[in-house]
Amino acid sequence: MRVSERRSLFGQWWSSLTLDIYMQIAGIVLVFPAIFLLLALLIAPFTFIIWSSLIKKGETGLGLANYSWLLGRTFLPSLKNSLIIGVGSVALEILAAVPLALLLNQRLYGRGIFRALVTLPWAVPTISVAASFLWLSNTNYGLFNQIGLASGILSLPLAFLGDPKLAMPAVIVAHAWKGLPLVFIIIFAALQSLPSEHLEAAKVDGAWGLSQLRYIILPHLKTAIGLAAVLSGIYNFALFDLTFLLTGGGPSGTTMTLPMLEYNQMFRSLDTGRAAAVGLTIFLVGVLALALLFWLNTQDRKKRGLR
Amino acid sequence: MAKIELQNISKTYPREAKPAVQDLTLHIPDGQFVVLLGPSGCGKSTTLRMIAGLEEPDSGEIKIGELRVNGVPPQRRDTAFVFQNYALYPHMTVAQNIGFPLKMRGLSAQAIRQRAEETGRVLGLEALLDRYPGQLSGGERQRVALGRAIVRDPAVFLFDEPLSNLDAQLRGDMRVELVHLQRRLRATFVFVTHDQVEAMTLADVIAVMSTGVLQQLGTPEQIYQQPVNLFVAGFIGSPRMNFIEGNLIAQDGMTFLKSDLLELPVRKCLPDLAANPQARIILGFRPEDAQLTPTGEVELKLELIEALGSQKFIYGRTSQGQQLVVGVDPKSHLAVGDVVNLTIPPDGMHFFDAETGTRLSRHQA
Ligand SMILES: Nc1ncnc2c1ncn2[C@@H]1O[C@H](COP(=O)(O)OP(=O)(O)O)[C@@H](O)[C@H]1O
Ligand SMILES: [Mg+2]
Repeated sequence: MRVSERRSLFGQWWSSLTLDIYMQIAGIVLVFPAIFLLLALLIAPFTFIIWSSLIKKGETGLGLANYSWLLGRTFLPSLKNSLIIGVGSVALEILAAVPLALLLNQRLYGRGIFRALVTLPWAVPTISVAASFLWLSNTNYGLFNQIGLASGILSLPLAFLGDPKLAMPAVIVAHAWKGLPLVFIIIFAALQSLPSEHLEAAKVDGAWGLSQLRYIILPHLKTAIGLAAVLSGIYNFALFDLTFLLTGGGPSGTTMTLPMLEYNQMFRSLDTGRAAAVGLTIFLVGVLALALLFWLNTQDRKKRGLR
Repeated sequence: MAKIELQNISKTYPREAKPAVQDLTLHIPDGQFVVLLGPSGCGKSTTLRMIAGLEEPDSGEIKIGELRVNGVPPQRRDTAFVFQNYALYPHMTVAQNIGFPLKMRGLSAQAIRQRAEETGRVLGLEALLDRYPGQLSGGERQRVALGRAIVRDPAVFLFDEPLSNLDAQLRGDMRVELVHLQRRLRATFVFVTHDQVEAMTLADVIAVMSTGVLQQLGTPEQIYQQPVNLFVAGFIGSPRMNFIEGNLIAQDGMTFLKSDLLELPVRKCLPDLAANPQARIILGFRPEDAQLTPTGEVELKLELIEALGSQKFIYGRTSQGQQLVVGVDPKSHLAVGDVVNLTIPPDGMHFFDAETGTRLSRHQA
């Protein structure tokens, strides 16, 4: 129908608007609540944090003093610790989650119960995780030491969380335990989406056992493992409470993390500016990790002619 | 190259009441193109998967060549399997997909590439070797799957409805290619399909299956011309064979088929049956076997005309209400509402026991 005909039908100015324009107007009206929420919940606080990070404690002008402080001896060790916790715990999680997913994907008796058990730590509050971990690793009566001593692996009980050499590994293990469910679920879902025909084709083609894992299963899981690693890595990198409750950053600062540094700056030193600068760094590391992941995925998909 | 022998194979899936395959015995000579044909769910794929080792039979024996392969894992059975959805590895290029079976055999990268290129050339894939499956059309993917099968020269080729995702044109082309391929390789092909046209065009021998049971084994001509039971008779041929149930009665030296809806002289001798007027039998004749003649003994009023170009079928009803389909000269001028007379030549008549469904006669004069 031509525009002129339609105008004669309806006799209104708006009848000459095309459907496209109606849709565009409707679209703008409909996204308005979302834009408002975004502004109120994300952009405003974010702007405020950036603003705060530019103000040195006790001064009023804007500057980069808080950022130059980041280059000093307080911040960098914490950054390193947080990175170690993030990377280390994720490595453990994936090393545990992939075999678990493979196992629980088999036709096993009671696998439903085990799947539920593996995902349970996600529902346990961090304080309970920390409390049980403190109890398990206690020097005098903790289960770890008792098993170690009884089996002869240890000759003396270890202070897992009090020893500067052992505290970091212990904190990493605790994070891995807490973060395992997320990684497991992502990898398990990906594994279930692997068409059984691919495995069957591989079998007929002569691949089984480890070669099937290497050439068919792991390549299929690659994207999911990357996603799980980055998501859980960011989570553990930025997790405040678990380390805080286990070691409080000690012994002698060996487990001091960025979120804990931010907390200390904010609530102990009452230095909003430095706290904001630390917070932004945490955020930035997460964004960079995500960006890297998406970039890698996009490259991979492009190479394979997918969108 | 090898023969395949299935001896009294049965398979019931866990937690299923009915067996998927039941007491199947099938001997496939070396170098034959055998098609397993039957409706969806009749156990064709299960049979094929048991040959490949992807499923184990509950009982019975499977031999490939001289080797009993029960319990032998798929990777040691030397079969190639082409799946309906191709099952190409999405993270490997075409060359890598084709070369994968060789890689698993430990060939050098150079040898693999060379064989993949040769195979690619045979299948017209040279230009696509470094693409990924995601960058290929359905027909090209099908070729890659075929390439992955032929690259390593297996003892037997197994195909599970590999053409059903292709458009009609491509499917026709691929059929021809498959036949050529099989002739060239002289390999044993077992091909599963529910499409009778596909089966007819491809097969040296067709095995018709229904509800897990082998119904008939024979050449396409045998299956079409002498179906052993009602199932095969009804399944093969399109439109379906006409079936009329009734009794045979002998009268005045003639035999008649008497049903509620029709009384038909049967010029084919079935003396034993005619002697027993209680026996219910089913007469079947194919639409294309009936002939229109002015003296024909059956009168048919036309209700629908199906013109397919090279063929024309008329659907109609006798005055008593028996529905029949008849193939006619595609150039004939007929209209809905016309009344035609048709005759069924003795050669075109198939008789089945109404109770058991089995065929009652071979061709008799
Ligand atoms: N993995 C399975 N588990 C349970 N039942 C199955 C399975 N695969 C097939 N079946 C059943 O076995 C029967 C035969 O299946 P199938 O061999 O796939 O038939 P076809 O290939 O002829 O369509 C069907 O009734 C189907 O539902
Ligand atoms: Mg099937």
